[in-house]
Amino acid sequence: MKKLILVLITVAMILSGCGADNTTGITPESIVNPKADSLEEAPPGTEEPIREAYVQPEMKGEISISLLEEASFITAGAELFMKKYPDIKININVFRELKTIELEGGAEMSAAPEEGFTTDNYLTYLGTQIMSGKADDIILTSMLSMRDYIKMGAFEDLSYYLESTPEINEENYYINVIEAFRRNGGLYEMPLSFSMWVIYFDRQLVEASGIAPDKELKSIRYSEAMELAKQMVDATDLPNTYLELGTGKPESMLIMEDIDQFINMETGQFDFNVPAFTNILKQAKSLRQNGYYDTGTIDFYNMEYHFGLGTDFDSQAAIFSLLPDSSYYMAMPQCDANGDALFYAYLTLGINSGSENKEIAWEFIKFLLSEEAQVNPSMYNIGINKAALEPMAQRQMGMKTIELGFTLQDCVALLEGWAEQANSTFMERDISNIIYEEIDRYYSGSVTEEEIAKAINNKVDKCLNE
Amino acid sequence: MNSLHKWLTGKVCNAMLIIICILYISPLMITITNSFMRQEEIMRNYSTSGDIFHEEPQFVNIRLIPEIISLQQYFTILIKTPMYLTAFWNSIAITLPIVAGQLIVSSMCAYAFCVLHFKGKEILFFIYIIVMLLPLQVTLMPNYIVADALNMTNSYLAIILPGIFNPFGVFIIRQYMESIPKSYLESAKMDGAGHLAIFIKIVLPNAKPGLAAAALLTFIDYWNIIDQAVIFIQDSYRQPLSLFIAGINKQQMGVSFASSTFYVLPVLVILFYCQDYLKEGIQLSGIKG
Amino acid sequence: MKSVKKKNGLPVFMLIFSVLGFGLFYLFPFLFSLIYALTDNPLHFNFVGIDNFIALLQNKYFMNGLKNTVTFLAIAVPLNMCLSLMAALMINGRKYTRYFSLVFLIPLVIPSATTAFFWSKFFDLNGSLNKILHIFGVEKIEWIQSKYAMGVMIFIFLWKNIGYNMALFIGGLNNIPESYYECADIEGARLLQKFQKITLVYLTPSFFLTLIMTFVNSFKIFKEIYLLTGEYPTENIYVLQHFMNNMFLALNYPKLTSAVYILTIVVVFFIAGVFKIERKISDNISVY
Repeated sequence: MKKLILVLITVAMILSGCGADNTTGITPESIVNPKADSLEEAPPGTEEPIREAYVQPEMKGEISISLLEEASFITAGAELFMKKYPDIKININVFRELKTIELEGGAEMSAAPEEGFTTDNYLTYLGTQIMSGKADDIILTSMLSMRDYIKMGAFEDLSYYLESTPEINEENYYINVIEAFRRNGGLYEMPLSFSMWVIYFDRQLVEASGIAPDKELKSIRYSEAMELAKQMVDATDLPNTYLELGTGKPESMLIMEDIDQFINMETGQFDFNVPAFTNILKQAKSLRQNGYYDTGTIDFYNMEYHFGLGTDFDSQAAIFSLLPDSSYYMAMPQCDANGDALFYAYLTLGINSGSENKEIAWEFIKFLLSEEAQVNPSMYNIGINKAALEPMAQRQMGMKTIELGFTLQDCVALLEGWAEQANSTFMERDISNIIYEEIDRYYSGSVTEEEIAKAINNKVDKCLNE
Repeated sequence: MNSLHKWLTGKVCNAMLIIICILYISPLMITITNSFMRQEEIMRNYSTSGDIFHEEPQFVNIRLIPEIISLQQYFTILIKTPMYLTAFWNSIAITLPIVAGQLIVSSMCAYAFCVLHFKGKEILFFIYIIVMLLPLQVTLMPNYIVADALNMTNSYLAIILPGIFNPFGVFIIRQYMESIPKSYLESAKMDGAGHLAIFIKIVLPNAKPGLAAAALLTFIDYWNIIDQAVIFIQDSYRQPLSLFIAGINKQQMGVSFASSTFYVLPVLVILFYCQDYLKEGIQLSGIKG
Repeated sequence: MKSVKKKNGLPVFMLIFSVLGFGLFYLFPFLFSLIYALTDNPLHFNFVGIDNFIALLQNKYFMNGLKNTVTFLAIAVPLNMCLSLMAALMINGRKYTRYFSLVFLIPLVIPSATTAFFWSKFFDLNGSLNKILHIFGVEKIEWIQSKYAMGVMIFIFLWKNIGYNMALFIGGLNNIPESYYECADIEGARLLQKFQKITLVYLTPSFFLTLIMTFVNSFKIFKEIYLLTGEYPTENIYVLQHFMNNMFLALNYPKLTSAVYILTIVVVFFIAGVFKIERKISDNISVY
């Protein structure tokens, strides 16, 4: 037995020795990124070998992109790019292809059931590919737990490329959004667009109650908005008044805006089992129990009803709040405890650190950020390129069939004011998922607030320190 | 053996057996009967959406008999989404070659392990066993590297070839071959029979239970594969059925029941016939010395 | 020497053929993964020696997982062996054997998602089990979050795997030549004696087989457990497979593979012991 183990270990030692030699031999110096391993210890930039100035590569070759689902903006961008540089071919590999079959009469139906192509399966697939060095050059990062991927050095730090691209600057781009993605000084994912949640109040309720938010406010915390809405509801005798439409979970909103209070990603310290946390849950629960939320009794067609506050996504909120007889009163972005406006980015791209076409990959990302690509009709959110805002607003306004009664410039100005503030996004998707899951459990059973807090502590600890 | 049988077929045992059987059949029965329910009924039965307002959340209401028998779910999976049928054949195209190849390779290897005597034989066999115990997560990536080097990615070969050489079949079949009395082989050898003749005429027929067990368990293992399919097959039209059954979609719970039924029934038929071989003992009289 | 080679040419060829495939698809990945265990990062391969192993032994989650895994195996494996042998004995030689054994094989073919769905509805806070207990006035328990969670896991494991081992035992039982029992009958052996001296002894290869297969399957059951409990279950059912799966998803191959090697070392010593005993007994058998 001993002999066997000895033999096994020796063989493996030899193999591992060879492996190490080979890889360092093959890997060109430029690909090795020494920073990725020691992410936590040293701030990047101190030991970084001085890299030569970025030169635009010869525009030919082939790059590939890995996506979980088809993204029409990227597809359209790739087509434009290939038209511009006919020698470059872009392969878009979509994991969950929503193939449809056309029926007689033009109707469509899906050919492949989605069940097999879960995000978990995609992560298994992607992880194997990345670690065996066969992954695509560009990877959509919006559903990845980037903390782990960066720790393993799977993604290229884009700072170098960004610094060598002077055309991406404060004047033309929402640099505030790009910068929000920095981790420990490194930029590993590039947002292409973003959206913001906007909070507004019910005009009739404001008028009837005489309670209104401060006119000077540029953004508002969800908790403050909730408090105001509560006062409005309390101060009026209008029928069927509620704090908010009861579809979302206010607990999640309240916790996520205060997330910095419970967890500090830089030090890795966290504690959810604190009064501040359990009070949020208790407060929301008591609001529910005291009838501030509808329990499914509203007949939306035949009844008069009012919700003190509402949330909506940016462009729609802008249009609705500009309508002359709008019921939206003082729409403004939601902000966190520091007053930074929250945004969400669903299209973020990273460059695979093992890619052999990093320069072309960067050229493509740069192209997707350029005005040429960003004005594309497939852009539904606020583009990172400021030039994309106006055409987007125009499209959104054009989609409304009603008489609007305000100009495109009004809408753009309003949206611009909001987008300038976008500053903060919580990037640890795994941790926010844990919180959402536990809040779901809080809803479904007879679990106490402390139990939920403890459960979150347990899970987050595993997640960070496993 | 008779009195042991008597006890084992006694009343107490019978009653126990029946209770256990119910425990075993019920998930399948529920799956089958619920596949004939309408989506609304299923949603109603399985929802436990007691929320903060209701003091008493409702219990899950598992029902066997549908209120209205509906073929809606089967219509969805068999006609509206032709993918399920394609995937079914894909599953067969992956599983059958593996079972066949595995039986051939493993029985040959097991035979070699039985008749050859060389230094380190037991250690080699031991390595077979240890490697078999490795969890999938560890071997997936090196397997991917091998498949990529052999240019087999996006091909069934990447699943089939490792499947054929799975040490698990060697292990099972050897255990059964070992129990064939050595005297049979010796006497056949005395009569001048070669290895091929002994292998085919004596060893294989007598190892039938082992072959059947290996075939059955290999079939089950590969019929249920998910991770390998996810990693090696990129084309969604070529994915096996197991992948589509893998997630139960809350909005389409009914479809999940129907597709699970569709997925399980053919396997049960195969199991039913395959398991007969499990009971074929060593045929003493069948061999003439 | 030459004559031996010629005589055994066929089996040698058979063996080499199998060993080649095995080496390529199983042994190579196994040894290859050792590289990960000894380096810090699968993308750059910096040799770190046994640092990963030391770090793991200091990792409280790994140790907790190891402890739970060993507990799980220590309870579930013997239980599984006993119950599946009982099931095999009960069923074998009955009138409707094929129907009964089919029943026990059903859990193996039901897809993991359906199994997990079914048991989650059974053990849910508002599930069937609590519904039944509610009738008897028992308080509702969230089984998967409670201290009984390990019991639930073992139960599901047994439910799923008894059929598997039973099939192997039925094969083994029928492989015992009937004439042995006949001889024993002539000698006037008692039931228990026959069971001890013949059934158990000749089932040794099957015992070994089922023992190993139970180990293998205890890794496979994880799919259901994972679907049932999620990535981060409560302390008492957090097993090594959770740890390994999370490491896999976090791309942390060094931690993953060193965890596997530690587990393998534990298992190797255990199985080596069983292997030795098994070889001894089966050598005795072939004397007959």
